[in-house]
Amino acid sequence: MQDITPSPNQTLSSPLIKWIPSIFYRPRRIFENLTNSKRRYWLAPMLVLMVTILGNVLVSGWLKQQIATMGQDSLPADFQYYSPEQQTQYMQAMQVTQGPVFVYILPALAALSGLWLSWLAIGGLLYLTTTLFGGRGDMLISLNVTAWAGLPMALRDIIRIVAMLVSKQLISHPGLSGFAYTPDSNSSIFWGQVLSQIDIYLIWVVFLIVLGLRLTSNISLGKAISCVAISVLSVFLIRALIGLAVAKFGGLNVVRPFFF
Amino acid sequence: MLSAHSFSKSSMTNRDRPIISINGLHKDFIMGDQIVHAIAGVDLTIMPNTLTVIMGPSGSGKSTLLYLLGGLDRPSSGDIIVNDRAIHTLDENQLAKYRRQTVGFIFQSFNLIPTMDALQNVAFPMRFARIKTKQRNQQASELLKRVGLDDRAHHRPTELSGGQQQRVAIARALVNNPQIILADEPTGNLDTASGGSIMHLLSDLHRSGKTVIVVTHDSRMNRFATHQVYLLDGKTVTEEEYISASVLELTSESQTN
Repeated sequence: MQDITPSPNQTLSSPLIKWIPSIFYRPRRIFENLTNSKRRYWLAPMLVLMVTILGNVLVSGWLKQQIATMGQDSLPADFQYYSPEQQTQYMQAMQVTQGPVFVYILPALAALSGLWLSWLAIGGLLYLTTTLFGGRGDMLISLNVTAWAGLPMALRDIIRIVAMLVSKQLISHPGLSGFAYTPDSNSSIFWGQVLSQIDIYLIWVVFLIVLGLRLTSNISLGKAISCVAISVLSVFLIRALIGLAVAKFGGLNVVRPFFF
Repeated sequence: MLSAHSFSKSSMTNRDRPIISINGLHKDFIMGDQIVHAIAGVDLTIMPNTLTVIMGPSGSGKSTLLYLLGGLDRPSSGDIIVNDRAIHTLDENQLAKYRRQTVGFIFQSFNLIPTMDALQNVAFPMRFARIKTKQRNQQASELLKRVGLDDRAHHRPTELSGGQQQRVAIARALVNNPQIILADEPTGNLDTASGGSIMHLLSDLHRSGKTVIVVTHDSRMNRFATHQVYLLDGKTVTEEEYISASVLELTSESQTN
């Protein structure tokens, strides 16, 4: 069998590239390598995730512009009640948000910062919780495990890109967010944000983190599941709150479309 | 209490419960230092499957009354009960749901979305009812056919005449199958012939079981009405009071001229 263990000085080299497909079918071996080498091996998976996220943003942005060109903008509910003057004003304001800054640059920055901050937060919380649960905690290993375990999300992004390109439609309700669809309610927006992150890839990621944590921190399965649940849930709730704030304050909504 | 019931042309069936009950309704607007009483104590009951025409001069409060009924505005005081539901107590989200499910609104200026064709305009309210695109388009097509515009489905509002635009707006008002159709001067921007065809269409809707309430200046609409409500200075009045007030107004206008 070919040895895929990198030398201690490698950060992003051929063996590390070979780890990327291996994480999908031989994850235990990758986590064992991470435990043994104790070096910064998070860069390769994070680069892969960044590339797929940027691909997702590019395709979504392109589709948004296509849809806007066809006059199918995502108009607010009850737009038919807006007077012709209000409709014109709204559409003029919408045109401003169709430029590359709003369609590509800001979403890309938001997505990339979301990726890096989530990774740091989950890695940090995993380190904290494993230490609290009496495990052999190590911040570097936690970050490595988090980055490598996150690779199914790259697969999800690739599948989404293909789906969008084939269907020529944006993915409007990712994950389970369709279950919380009521555009007018704050709680629905919040739970929509939470549920949008829940899908089969998340379960895969959670499984990989639990596996990685058990191998690298030497804690029981129950404790590993608890650590992952606390860390992932905390980050999800924070992300959902940020998503709610963006939806409430970043959206182009007429606060008083009628008379009151 | 004055009510649409009082001016019934046909005998009412007492066993029917009102679809709309309005009690002691007031709506005040503050304009500078002045308070304008747009609606100054209206009591009204409207029975299901009726066609009620609300008439009154400009500034009498008829459009305000319609907007209050449609959940587009809130009363200063008083009750509006629609289908046993007190809509004056609803919050924003509940009002949005009420507008989406219970009423269809037709505006004088049509309010069609200029970037969308007729089919997309009709299908638009269904986007928020979580109906699939194919089903939305199918339903919108059927409604356009119903208003006689199936051959104009892919024309944008600017490519349609005023009468055709209002037909699209009527189809859109019907899209979520509301019980109540509210029309604010639906013939106000139309020529006589187009206005007449819109009136026939509203009458057809009434005959198909909808409760239709029309605010209009156009007395031709009375021909189709089962009930008439007259408004003067924010209050309901009898037909005689309305006619004598109109005569007085015309007399004072001619003396001024």
